Amino acid sequence: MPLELSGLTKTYGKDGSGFKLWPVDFTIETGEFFCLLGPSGCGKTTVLRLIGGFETPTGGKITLNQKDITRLPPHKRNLHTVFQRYALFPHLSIFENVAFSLRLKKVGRTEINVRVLEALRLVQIEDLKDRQTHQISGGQAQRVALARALVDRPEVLLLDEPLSALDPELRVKMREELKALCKKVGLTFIMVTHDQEEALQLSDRMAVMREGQCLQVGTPKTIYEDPVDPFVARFIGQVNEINGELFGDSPETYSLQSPLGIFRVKKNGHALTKRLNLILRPEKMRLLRQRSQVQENLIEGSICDLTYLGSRTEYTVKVKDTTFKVFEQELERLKKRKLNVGDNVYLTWRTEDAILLNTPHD
Amino acid sequence: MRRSNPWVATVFFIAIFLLYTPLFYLVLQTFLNNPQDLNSGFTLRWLLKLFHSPALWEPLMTSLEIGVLSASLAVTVGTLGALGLFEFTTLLPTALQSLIMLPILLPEVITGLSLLLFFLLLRVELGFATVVVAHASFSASFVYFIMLEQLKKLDPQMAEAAQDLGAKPHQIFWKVTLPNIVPGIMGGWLLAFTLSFDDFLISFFTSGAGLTTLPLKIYSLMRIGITPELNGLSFLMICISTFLVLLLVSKEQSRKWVLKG
Repeated sequence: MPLELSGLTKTYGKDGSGFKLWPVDFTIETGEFFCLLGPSGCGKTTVLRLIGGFETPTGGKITLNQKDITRLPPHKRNLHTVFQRYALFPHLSIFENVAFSLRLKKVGRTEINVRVLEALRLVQIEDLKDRQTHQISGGQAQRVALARALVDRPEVLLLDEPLSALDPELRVKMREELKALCKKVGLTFIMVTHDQEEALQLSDRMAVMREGQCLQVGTPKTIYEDPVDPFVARFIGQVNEINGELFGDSPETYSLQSPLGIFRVKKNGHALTKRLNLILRPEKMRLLRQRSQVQENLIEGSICDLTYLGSRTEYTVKVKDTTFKVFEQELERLKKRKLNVGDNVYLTWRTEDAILLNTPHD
Repeated sequence: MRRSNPWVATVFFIAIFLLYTPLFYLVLQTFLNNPQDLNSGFTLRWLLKLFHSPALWEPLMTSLEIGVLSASLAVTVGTLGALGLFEFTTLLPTALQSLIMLPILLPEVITGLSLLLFFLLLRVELGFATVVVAHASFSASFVYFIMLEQLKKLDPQMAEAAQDLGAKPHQIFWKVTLPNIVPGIMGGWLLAFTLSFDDFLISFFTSGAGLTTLPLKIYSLMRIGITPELNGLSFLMICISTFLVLLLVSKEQSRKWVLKG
């Protein structure tokens, strides 16, 4: 039962002066954990509200299981939302909160009892069923909201930054539970988040958005290792960037001319223009104490800061006017002499680890 | 902490003194053997006599009936108004907002007179119904503001959550919105009832010849002369009003506890 968004747009303000969501196209497969990721104001919540039916699109179509649901009001869509601040009903007990949708559907008393308890058991809060909403913690409220949305077996569950109101420790724990829950119930989960770590951990696939545009849809691995836009690369993980111009190309590689030198980059099929960004992940760069046998992709700089973090050490290396972040794991600690602030070092990377992208026009 | 200014405290106590001394004197007189003489000893005679004066029972019942009916009417109108206008409050021009507040600010003489003229224009016979409508019309604006505050406290996502879970618009109202604004409705009702029960001027203008509410009765008795029963009656009214206000305050208080909890 895939959920398909085709050419979905939304414009706010009469003359189009307000926020604009550019046409969004993607298909979310059944049982998939899909994240909409982006900074605040990128339109990710708008997409979720369009799917939920709380906003009417300006154009385009939403189909769920081949059925057009674009114009259906929220109460006629077979999908439920878990709201950011949970929006539990304060006048009802936990049990009645969860039973809400079943009571509306006039489900029989014994079946309601069975299904509500089943839903509460699923999120491990069976013992809270008789409490009132003001007698539970934020994390428990979160579980109630999940149980309430899952109890009448919707086709899709929409989650609007569900973990943002929790404290950090609980947030990490709930991530694992959410992922397990998704696989256990076999429903499609669509989650909005601005936390890239959360998206990387949870998603089967994700969409990265910025300023009302969907920049890239893909698995976390694709998004991290093969971003199509410098913004995507910067938003997920950390990056070092070298600006330059296309200098030449051979059958296997491009070369980039920059103030720091000429670098070779493996071809990856992107159509390139003249102005380019070379993107390097900090953990894919190496520090050398001496100019070694390596001749290409080598730049000289000096360490201006280092932070020891146990599993790795983060170095800040200054090369001319540019600073680079380099993360080195301490595997070869014994072999290598200790590096200090002020030391002269050489930076290098493997040709296939560099990502070459067009510089955006803005 | 703010430093307390001795002047503020002094002025405060003078104000309290001025407010409550006459009331205290009135209550005291109710229990004096001879109301004119402070040394005449205490008695319950006047209060008991009050209960044997059927002439006072009828106005009391009338006032209670008018209070209940007008409060219910005011709550209905005020609540519906607040519900209807809530989503547009930010869009409404300030002028229109203050129009709703006008009945609170206008001198009651003006409100009473205008209502009287209006009823005469419509050729409605003055009496029970006109007093109920008149009371409701000015308490409705109080209720409106109480309900507006109540609605502002509601989580706007709650209605969306209900809709999301399958509730049709009327089900959202009955199953989610209404249960959550009941405290405001009860508070508004009590306030409207108190306003109606204590009202003299508007009843005076709109009651016509046959109808006498309790405040009107007190006024007419006073013209004959201040009798000890009158003191007793006033004491009774103070008790009822105080009770209602305490009920209101304690409701507010318990709600705060619930929210804190």
